[in-house]
Amino acid sequence: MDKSEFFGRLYIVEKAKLNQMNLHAEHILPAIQIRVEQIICNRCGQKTAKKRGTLPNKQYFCPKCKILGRISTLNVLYTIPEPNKFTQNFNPLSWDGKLSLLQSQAAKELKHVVESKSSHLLWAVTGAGKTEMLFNALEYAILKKMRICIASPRVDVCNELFPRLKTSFKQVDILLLHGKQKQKYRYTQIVICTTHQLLNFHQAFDVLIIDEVDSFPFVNNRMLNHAVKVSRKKESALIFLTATPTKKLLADVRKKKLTFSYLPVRYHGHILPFPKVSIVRGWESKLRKQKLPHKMAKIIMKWSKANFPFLIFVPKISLLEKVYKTVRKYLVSDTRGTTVYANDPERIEKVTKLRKGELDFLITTTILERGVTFPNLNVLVLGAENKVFTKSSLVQIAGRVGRSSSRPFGDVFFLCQTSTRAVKGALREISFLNRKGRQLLK
Amino acid sequence: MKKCLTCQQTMFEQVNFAWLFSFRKIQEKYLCENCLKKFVLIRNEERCQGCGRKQEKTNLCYDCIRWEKTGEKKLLGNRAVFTYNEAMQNFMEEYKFKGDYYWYHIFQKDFEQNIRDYYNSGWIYVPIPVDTLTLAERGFNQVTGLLQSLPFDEILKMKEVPERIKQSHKTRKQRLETQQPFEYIDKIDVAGKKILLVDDVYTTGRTLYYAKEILVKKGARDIRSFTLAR
Ligand SMILES: [Zn+2]
Ligand SMILES: [Zn+2]
Ligand SMILES: [Zn+2]
Repeated sequence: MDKSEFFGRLYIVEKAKLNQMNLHAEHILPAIQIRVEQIICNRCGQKTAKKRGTLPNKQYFCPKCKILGRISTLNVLYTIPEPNKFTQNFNPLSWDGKLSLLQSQAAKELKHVVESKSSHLLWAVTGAGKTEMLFNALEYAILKKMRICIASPRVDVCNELFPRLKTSFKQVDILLLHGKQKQKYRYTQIVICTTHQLLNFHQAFDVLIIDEVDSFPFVNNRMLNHAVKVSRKKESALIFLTATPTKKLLADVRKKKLTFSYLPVRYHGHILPFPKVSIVRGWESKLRKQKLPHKMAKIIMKWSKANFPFLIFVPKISLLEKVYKTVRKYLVSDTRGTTVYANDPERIEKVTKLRKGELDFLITTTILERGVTFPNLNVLVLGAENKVFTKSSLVQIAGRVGRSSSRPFGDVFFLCQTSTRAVKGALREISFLNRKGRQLLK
Repeated sequence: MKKCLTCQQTMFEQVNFAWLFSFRKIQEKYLCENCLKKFVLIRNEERCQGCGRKQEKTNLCYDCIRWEKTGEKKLLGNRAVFTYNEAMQNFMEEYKFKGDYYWYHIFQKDFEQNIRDYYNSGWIYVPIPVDTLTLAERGFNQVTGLLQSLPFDEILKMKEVPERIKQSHKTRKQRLETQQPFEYIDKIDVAGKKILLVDDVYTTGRTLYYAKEILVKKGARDIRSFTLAR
């Protein structure tokens, strides 16, 4: 095995094979720490009751991170301290696009974060062009032979980032890592991975960027925090990118643990479209009679006539078919649409078809709330009162609209039984960002 | 609050009066009702008498007739508690392949009770062994994990063959061609005894018939088998 595979990695070694492997004793860590009633995992940092992690013969395993391959007291962890052994690259950036004035300001700030190895939150609205704003900072880091990781809780986000970075940094070796692909690990200067994969690294990164941190509101935050803490070097730059920051992140800004900047204006120089809220009582019972609320019928007929593509978000998979069939009844027969959900095997094809204009609408679950863009889009949320539509989810959904410079506006409707805290919070957040944006544009 | 091991949903303990007035310890739950329902029991009157497969009648299935044709005079009369469906496959994935030992709790008590119900007195329980390499990696034998509180005798052992291909990676044909994989450990005398071989899954039956072959040579009188799934 190539030694470089251990650089900044936590490698699982079976105790039984230790003597054949000829490893340096000072680089070996125990896999599990045993306490009186609990065990603590040295990979994911989580505590587990002994009873839950028991193996025969007084051995223990960690059930919390078994998805990455179980570790137990039958293993040790091996790592070689990150040596930053990269070839010097004098001209790494192969991107020739231009940043807007506001984007280049943010880009400068991010570069400064990398230079000073500090921690920063960039709150950039959907469609602000976050990825391009990173390029100056990344270029600087590559010149300095720093090791870089961009991580996101969502596989989709990683998959989308990878080709964009590859074309923008053609000379730099980049690895994409996540549980759903077979790519073997190798030592590279840039790693793009899911936040889970961070647990396999140990003080490896000089620059760690977390994209869309909030995208899984129910992720095990303690595990994520641990991963962020141990995968990067003690002295390193940390950047959180998000369009919808969590309370926790904003609290960290207030406590001065993070520096902070906004970008409330989109790359094309416009602010976010503002959602309209309509109370539609009894929409579910209407649906059972194969009828749409009057308001909704009016909206979709108008959209369809204007020939703009649209998304209708529903709170549950089980509603998809019913809403689809009912919507069909209100549209002319050559309107093309279908349903889509997270585990839909044709998800990617359907999204592509809508983008190409081969479909006119999709009925979807929250899966399309982020990571996808369509020109000229309008959106409607049916049942926005449901708890799956959190504040950040609704802000993201609204953020699907007005992405192209040719039509930087569009319709966003939240249809709900009653207005919830999430709905009100989303409106408040968007109007706050737009106020900030207008000030900048003055 | 306890969570279902499969779907992670919180389960609410149902405590009723019947329980309050009894001295029985409340049965700990590891799966929610919904996930539990996905396992399909094989009842006595709807199984193949040879391998325990779930079917309409109790006659021998195609596979078992084939075993007889290869010269097997007395079939194992396997009993399996559940069918090997998607839920069971998922169980094996977590328990055996991902190595989450705690999952034995889901079936252990019922599995042992089933064995006691059918094979009570005079039977020696013999678990099918796991090879040394797998045992060192996994840290447990998935069969003995399900048998914890029954007295069993580990009198079979896998032969040490360097670089042996793992059973689950073989095709059906390769599996059938495997040579005798077991050795007998001379712990107890099995001559004239009744032996119940215990395994997690009955797939082709090949493994269990190899185990039987060895014990027949050692003079065992009656050899049957019992598995969690078929
Ligand atoms: Zn762990
Ligand atoms: Zn469940
Ligand atoms: Zn049969």
